[in-house]
Amino acid sequence: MARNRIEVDETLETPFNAGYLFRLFRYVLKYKKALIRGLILMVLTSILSLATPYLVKIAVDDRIPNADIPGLLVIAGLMLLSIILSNVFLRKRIITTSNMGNSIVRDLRKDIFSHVQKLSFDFFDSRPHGKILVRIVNYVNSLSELLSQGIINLINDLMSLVFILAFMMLLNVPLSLIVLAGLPILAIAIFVIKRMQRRAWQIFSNKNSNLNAYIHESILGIRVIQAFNRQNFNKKLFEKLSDEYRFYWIRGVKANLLIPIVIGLMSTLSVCLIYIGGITWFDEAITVGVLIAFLGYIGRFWQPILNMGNLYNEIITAMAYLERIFETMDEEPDIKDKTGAGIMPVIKGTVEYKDVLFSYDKGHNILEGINLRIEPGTTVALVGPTGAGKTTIVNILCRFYDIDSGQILIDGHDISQMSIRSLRRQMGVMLQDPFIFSGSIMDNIRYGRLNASDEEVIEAAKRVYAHEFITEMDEGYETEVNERGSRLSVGQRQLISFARTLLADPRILILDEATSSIDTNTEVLVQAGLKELLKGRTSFVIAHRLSTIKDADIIMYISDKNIQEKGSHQELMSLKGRYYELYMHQYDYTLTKHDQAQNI
Amino acid sequence: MRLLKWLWPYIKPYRLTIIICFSIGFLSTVLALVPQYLSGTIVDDVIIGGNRQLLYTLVGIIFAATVIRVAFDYFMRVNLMKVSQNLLYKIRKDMYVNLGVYDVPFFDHNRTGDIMAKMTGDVQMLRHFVENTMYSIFTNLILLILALVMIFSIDWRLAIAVFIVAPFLFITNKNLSKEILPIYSSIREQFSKLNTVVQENISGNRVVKAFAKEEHEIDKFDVENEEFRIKNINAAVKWSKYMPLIEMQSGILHVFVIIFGGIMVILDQITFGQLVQFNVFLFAIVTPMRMSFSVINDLQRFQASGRKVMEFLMYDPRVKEPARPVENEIKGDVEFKNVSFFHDNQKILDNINLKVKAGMKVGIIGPTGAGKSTLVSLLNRFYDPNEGQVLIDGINIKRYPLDTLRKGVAFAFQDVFLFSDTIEGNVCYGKPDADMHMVYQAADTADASEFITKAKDGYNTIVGERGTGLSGGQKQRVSLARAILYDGRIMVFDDTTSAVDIETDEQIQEELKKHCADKTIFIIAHRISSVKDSDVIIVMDKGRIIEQGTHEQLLEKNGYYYETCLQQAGETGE
Repeated sequence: MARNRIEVDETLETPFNAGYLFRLFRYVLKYKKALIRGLILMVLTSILSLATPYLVKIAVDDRIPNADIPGLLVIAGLMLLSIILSNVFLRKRIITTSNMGNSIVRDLRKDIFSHVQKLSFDFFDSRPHGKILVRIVNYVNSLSELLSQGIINLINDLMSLVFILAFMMLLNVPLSLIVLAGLPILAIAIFVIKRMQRRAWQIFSNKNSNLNAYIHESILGIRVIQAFNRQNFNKKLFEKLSDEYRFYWIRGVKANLLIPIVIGLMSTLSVCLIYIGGITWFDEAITVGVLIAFLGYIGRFWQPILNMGNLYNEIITAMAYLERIFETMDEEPDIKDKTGAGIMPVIKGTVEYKDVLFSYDKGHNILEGINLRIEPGTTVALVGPTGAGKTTIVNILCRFYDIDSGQILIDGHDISQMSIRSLRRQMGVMLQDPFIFSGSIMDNIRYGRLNASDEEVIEAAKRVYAHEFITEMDEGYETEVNERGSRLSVGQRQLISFARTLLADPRILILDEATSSIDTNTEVLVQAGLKELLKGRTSFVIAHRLSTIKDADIIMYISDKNIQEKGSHQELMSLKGRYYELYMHQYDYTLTKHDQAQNI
Repeated sequence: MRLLKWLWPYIKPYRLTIIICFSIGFLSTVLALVPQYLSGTIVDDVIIGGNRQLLYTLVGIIFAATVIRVAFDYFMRVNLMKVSQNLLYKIRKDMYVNLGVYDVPFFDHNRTGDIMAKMTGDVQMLRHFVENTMYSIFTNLILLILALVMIFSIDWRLAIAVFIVAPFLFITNKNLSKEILPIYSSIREQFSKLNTVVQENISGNRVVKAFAKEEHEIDKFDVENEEFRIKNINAAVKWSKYMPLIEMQSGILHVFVIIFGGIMVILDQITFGQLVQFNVFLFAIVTPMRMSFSVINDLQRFQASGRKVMEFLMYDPRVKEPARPVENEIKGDVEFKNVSFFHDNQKILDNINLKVKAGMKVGIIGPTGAGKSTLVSLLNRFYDPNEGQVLIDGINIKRYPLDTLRKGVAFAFQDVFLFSDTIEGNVCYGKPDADMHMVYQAADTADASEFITKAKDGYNTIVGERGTGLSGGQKQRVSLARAILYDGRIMVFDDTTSAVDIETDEQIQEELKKHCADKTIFIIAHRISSVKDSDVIIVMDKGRIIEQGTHEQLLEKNGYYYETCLQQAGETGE
């Protein structure tokens, strides 16, 4: 599995397609009522905003020269009315568009987040987590402006463009054609600039993501950074990433800024041409009045184009983000429910592996030809050298990864045919790496079973002997802890994570080095408490401490991609194989200790 | 104001560029008036006056003025943008550098998602301020002043009428800034929360999947996501209240001028031409008025975010560099003298006294939560003790420069953290310039070379964030190799071999003994085998040293150590 490092850009797997814009538009369509309402309000405001200059004109041309004070007041009253009305519309429009924009952002973010939940370990393991974070939070955020204002403005600008063009055509066709001649030139210019922009913004989104990922990892690994005096070295890396960020941002914005410039030039150029054309070429046909009116319209003709140019810039920038967002949403989960997957009934505990073959990378098999059958209520211990595949054997039982060939059956049901959720809900896995969420200790334990009462949580904590240290804290179970916090020692985190697993009341329990950081005395107590709990439940235990292993019903020695030895402690000892060696080695060692203890 | 004072040193290096940009911006605004002005001339002289020769000259000037204006605009925008990017770069770099200096309490109180929010979101508001808001304030002020001068020169009485709206405008803007600031602050707060919930979901994805809690996670996320939407809409509700108010005031201004101006014209107080002129300049007053809304908005946004960034950068870590540092190299004598340490009100370490000579090996053992890790973290000042002192070579460690101290202490943490980098990059994390030979040697000592060479790309194998892809024991050994290569005079191994099988553990202990013969070693472990051959073993419980001595001495004490020993022996001895 190819992993992505921080300073390496992620390759964009799907080429640009306009389909993304349509896809985004589908999110907008959900709010078509708001869209239409916003549009109507916008048009109403535009019309009213035209009324004021007109009223001023009447006042100046007519009422004032005629010294008509009451008439003047009527005009003023009308102006006031139109101002008030247009602001009432404005007010409604702000609320409508912001509601729409923020709702779309929410929907989009919800969809990408929910989709990410479906993705398997591979997805999370193959890239820095900061790069996923930035897609869900920052990229989606940067679409917000475009979605709330952009769309309505675009439609409004298009409409006013059509109106103005119609007026211009009515006024004078040849002059209109001169103005329109500018558009193809503009189109060519935009086409040229677009290529620079697209590239720059795509690269920028990568650099942005790299920088975020680096910050993220630095925060998580801050203790290591400080302990190893890496600050100066890291600062240089950070500067390099920041530099790239800055470089591509500047490059992108420089390209963006060309668009209004081209439009500005085109607009002046068309004004100049109208003067020359109007005055010298079509001399006879065009009156002064027409020319002046026409010049007035040119300004209004280019304004919406300028607006659309700016919007176009926003879209180009947003496209780079949009691609990443939809790319993530299109990521197929490696492990998913088969169509018509069954619901795993309440597990009794028979576990069967039939000819199981598994690899993380094709061709690099981790497990080959695993066959085993375990009866309900059996405690199975897995031993063997580190990296032999012990964790993998239990990971495939939970379908964290799917096997390449063979079958795994629980109570006779092929687990690949069962829904993942119904399977995992009955499995209690305690991972090597205990993860603590920010929140209270109570909430962290309760994560195992959300509807558990406080008493049940405390009961679970007592079972793993965590109750004592928790109550010694100032706020007891309500003590706030977090991911990297120093509040808990690693052993204490393991105990909390242990309590969490027990609270889930699993039908099959898997303990993967679950107690490695807990002192042996506490561990013995925990084990004793566990024995009763495990009665009638199948469990898998991976550990190095032989005390944890020895009492298991079945011990399996894993190495060289397969189960080398299998049986009870006695059986394996009399086999005099690798387990025997491992055991005797420790026995030798502890024997001397034992003797020393005896010799006191 | 405090915020601006704080920001000033960041802006100061670019003040010249900013002034030039502003001046050019001003010129380009003036140039924008040229076509308008010349249009009048064209109508009067060319069309009506019939002076065709003049047409091409005038059109030429219009076009030239536009080209210059556009070039000016581009220059100004690009340069302001560069300044703002440099500022962003500098502030973010300072934040990053500070992360390297901040102490444990800071990270206890700021969740990863919070810090991410500040370093990715809030800093952008500072950039925006420099790139847009400052310029916008400048141009609008200039425009306003010019317009005011003009209207007063036309007719002061009419000009005074304009000021009728001033108090209303002032009150509206003041209320707007008062009401919108808490909303922006709450949006930033919520952004932080949203960041945290997503970040923890990603970091904790294994737990989420193991417990099949995807739906619960989505529910949790939905709450924050929805709240973020609502907070943003709240801001829009405020806009919808104030923006029309300001728009209306500027509209009313027109009405005023038409009524009063009209009446004045009718009463022959001013000429008709003056009224028309006045009306034209009114636009120059109304534009900054209307802009005041967005300026105030930007300012408050800047304030809400700026405060967060400022607080971040002004955090005062309790662990500080010494004022007058000593220059001694670290040799390795260590002494804890009446050391106590509190976490909130809970006593974690209680009057610890321990003297260790350079080259000694100290084994530390004791129940979970006894304070073992805390004790050793005092050695490179992750924390400072609340009472008592820690001495190295007879000198209080607070007097060593932090990097000297931390160069002297190599740490292998209990909580292994590997970076998403190659295995090689992780091993030589503390010594980036180490040659491969040294990397191999360190890996050998940590008994890691075998599995590394067997991995797909050997030392170039990339491990995922937090070391995914390696088993627990493998991660621990990479982390151990990292500490060995770092090679401090004092080595701290905090439960570094718990996930390694006993056989391997023994080999590692042997290798360490050879490799680190002359070093001071602190080793925390649960296995007696790891600490047995220490020169001194301490047993800790509830923050105190309850037993201390060599293996033999401790066995004679019949205490915790003896019991643990018996128990571990009993594990295998039938």
